[in-house]
Amino acid sequence: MRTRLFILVIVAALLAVVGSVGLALADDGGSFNTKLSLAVPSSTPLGQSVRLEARLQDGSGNPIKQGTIVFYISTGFLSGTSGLMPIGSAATNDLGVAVLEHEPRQNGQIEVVARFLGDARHGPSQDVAKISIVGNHQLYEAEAGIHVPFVGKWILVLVLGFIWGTYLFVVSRVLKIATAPPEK
Amino acid sequence: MNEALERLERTVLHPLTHTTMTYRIVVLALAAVAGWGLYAFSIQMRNGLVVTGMRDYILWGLYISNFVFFIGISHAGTLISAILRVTKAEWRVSITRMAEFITVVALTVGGVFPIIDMGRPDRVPSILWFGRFQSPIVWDILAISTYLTGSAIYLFLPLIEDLAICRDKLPKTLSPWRRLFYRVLSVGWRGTDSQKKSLFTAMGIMAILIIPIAVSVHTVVSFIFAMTLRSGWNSTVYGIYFVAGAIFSGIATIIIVMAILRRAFHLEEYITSKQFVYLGYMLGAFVLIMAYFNLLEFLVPGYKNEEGEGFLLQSMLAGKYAWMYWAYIVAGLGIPAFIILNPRTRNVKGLVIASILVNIAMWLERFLVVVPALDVPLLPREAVTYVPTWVEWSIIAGAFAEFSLIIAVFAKLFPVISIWEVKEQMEQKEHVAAEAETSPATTHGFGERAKTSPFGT
Amino acid sequence: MELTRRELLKWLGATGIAVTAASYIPWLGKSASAEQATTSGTQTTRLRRWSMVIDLKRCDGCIGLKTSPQCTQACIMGHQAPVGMKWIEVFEFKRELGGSYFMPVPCQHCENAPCTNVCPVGATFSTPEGVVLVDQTRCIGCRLCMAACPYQRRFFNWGDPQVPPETRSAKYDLHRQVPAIKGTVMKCSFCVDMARNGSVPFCVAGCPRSALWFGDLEEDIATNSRDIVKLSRFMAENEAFRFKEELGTHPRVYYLPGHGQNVGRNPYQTGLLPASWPWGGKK
Repeated sequence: MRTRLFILVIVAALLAVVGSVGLALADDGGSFNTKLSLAVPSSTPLGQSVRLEARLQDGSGNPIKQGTIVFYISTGFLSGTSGLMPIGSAATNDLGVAVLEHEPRQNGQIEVVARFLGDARHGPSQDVAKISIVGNHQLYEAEAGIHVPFVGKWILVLVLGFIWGTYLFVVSRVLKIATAPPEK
Repeated sequence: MNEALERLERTVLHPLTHTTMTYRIVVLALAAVAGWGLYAFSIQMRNGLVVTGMRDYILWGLYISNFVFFIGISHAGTLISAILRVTKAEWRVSITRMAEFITVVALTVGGVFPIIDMGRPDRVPSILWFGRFQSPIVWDILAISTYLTGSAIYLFLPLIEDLAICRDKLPKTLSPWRRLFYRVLSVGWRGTDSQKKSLFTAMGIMAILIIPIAVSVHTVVSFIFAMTLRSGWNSTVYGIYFVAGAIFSGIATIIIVMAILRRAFHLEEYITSKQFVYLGYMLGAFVLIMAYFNLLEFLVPGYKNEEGEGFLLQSMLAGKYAWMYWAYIVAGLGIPAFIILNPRTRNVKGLVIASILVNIAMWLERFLVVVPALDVPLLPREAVTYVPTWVEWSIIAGAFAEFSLIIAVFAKLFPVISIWEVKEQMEQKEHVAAEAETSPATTHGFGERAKTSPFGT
Repeated sequence: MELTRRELLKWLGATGIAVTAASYIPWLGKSASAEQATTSGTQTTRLRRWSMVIDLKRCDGCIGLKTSPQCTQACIMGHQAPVGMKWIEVFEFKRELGGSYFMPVPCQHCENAPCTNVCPVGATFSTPEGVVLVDQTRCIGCRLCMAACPYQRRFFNWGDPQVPPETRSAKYDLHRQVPAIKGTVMKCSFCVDMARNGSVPFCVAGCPRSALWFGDLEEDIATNSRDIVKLSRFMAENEAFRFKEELGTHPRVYYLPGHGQNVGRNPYQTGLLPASWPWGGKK
């Protein structure tokens, strides 16, 4: 009899604990889960900077302040390396919005990833968006030398031509000597 | 007077028909040395530049410094001759021919050095197909070929009258090819007024034109160094510094060649101590100019003591290359200055000694331009030393022999003194003297220039 | 001198003829060998602008690994370089008050390259991708480019190059610089042929410390064959500098300052080991 009572008490206690934990969990669920939504323009010309806007909210839709959002572009490069290339990070403001100005240098469709890594009170979350970059022109141009109007190789050609022309003239004087009529 | 004129022709034309044993021996010896140089070059052609002491850090050596040296002594000639002609210095007439010889020969010999220095001499013609205007080497090629052509024309023009004298006065026993040679080259000169007018026009133009060309040539030679970012070479003073050094060693070379030919061909009557002393004065002036440039070259970077410049100065003034540098200062500037300033040593013998010293010193100076600057480390690398090999020395010796050889051959083919110019001067002096006798009021010095001057009256 | 009007006209005429003739000489006025400046197409028509970043925080000259610098070694092996040529070479830069740092120095691939400016025959030239190459079949061996290079990153085949025998009979390849030709200049080519085909240069792949990054300034991206970074940000965040930047040569090689601290070297450790050429020797 005593044993049955003991088990009952234990079960009741366990139930109470589980119940209260469950209640507590149910109560917290809204703030621990996070949701990140990334807003980007769908298309932009190459060479222009775009505004990447990531909105961070908790489960109940409240904005999370001071959360660090890291932005990446999913890409590949030489030797088969591929993956996420970090392009910058920003902290969310009072409205839970983090903004990064980024100038995409690849053309075509690019995939932007925003990530919230989570902290003590909030879980991680991420969002992906695509931008198509339109344009096919060079962005990086090397420039060397000084440009002065009218200065060029033609000056050298002219000087050389003048000298060699004068040689020609002198040679023509020699030919004149050779063909001079005899003196009377 | 007629007797003096005849003696002039006899003396100057004598070497063209008579060859002494000494001359033959000298020519043979020179040819042997030149041949040895050619052999050394063939070894270099077969094995590559690995047979030289040059390596990746000190990548130029004797060849390039001799290129600068020979182009330098080429300035002797034409530039000095042209300056003296334009300024109507009378004492020049008996020495201009030799000076002009030196120019043409030194350019021919010096111009070969960059080709000897090349890793692929077989590809020289590709400069014609692929040449780029932006390269200082192409500037060198353009400048040197223009200068060589100009100097050859400038040497040839005053030769025409003398070649006509050779054609007319040399004995009939001369070999037929020599006779043809003089007949063709004297281009039918008969001394008519229209011929004289054409000749003087041509000479007047060339004498003026050749001066800026000569200046440009050595400026451009300095550009293969000055157009780099290396300490010592990265300098704006280099162009004019090279030109001054060129004229300096050029004058010294004329004095030496003059002394040798005067001795060999008995020309004491025409090349007197006056010519030596006047050239000595010019040499003295250039001692000062060179000293000034040396001061500029070292004081300006030395004061600021930028890293590489400081390293270079240290090695030049008190380090690895100090013995050469101070030898240059003492033997090239100090002793010659003393010889020229002291009236007791200012004579033919003294000036020849001074000139030899100047040329040795200038040769060292050219070496000091090329090698120590390359010895300045651009990276923290191990120290290296450039030691020229026997191949390099042999090729250099061969070049000097070839230079002397061509001069010797020239001296057998052409009169080494401009006969017609000396003759005209003698006639004028007589004329002036005669006039002075009849009308003592006539002042000296005006009339005597007028008629012979290529610049007209 | 007196010139009559007729003579003056003749003189002018002669000058005119010579000027015209001079301007017809084929090579007068021709610019740097543009005909060689070809590049293979990538996916887009945009050209890559190759670039390298060397992270000195991660470079210990391979002394911690007790090997010769592996970038140099990988370059030698990959290019079958003639004995003595280290197209990328690690130098120990001593600090005045003690300590040192190691710096791998390849050709800096300057945008305002002093070497290509002075070449008389256009044998060395910059490609539109920004890589300085040498055509050994055209080089005349004057070595003016070597004198002009402020980084001493050009090498000359003074004699018969010591290379693996099998390369001697190969068909000449401008990018691989195989076979090496006596009397001509050789240098780092940024392995541009490999980069165009999608792999990083030998030295970058060979660096055991992942200290070398190869990138494209056009797409602003670089990799050390492990990670990918945004090139401009990577350099800005790590105080990138260029070697002898004050000369205005605009090198394409950037350095991140350091002394190998990220791979456990303290600034007083020294002891670079010599590289070796299996077909020749050690140096």
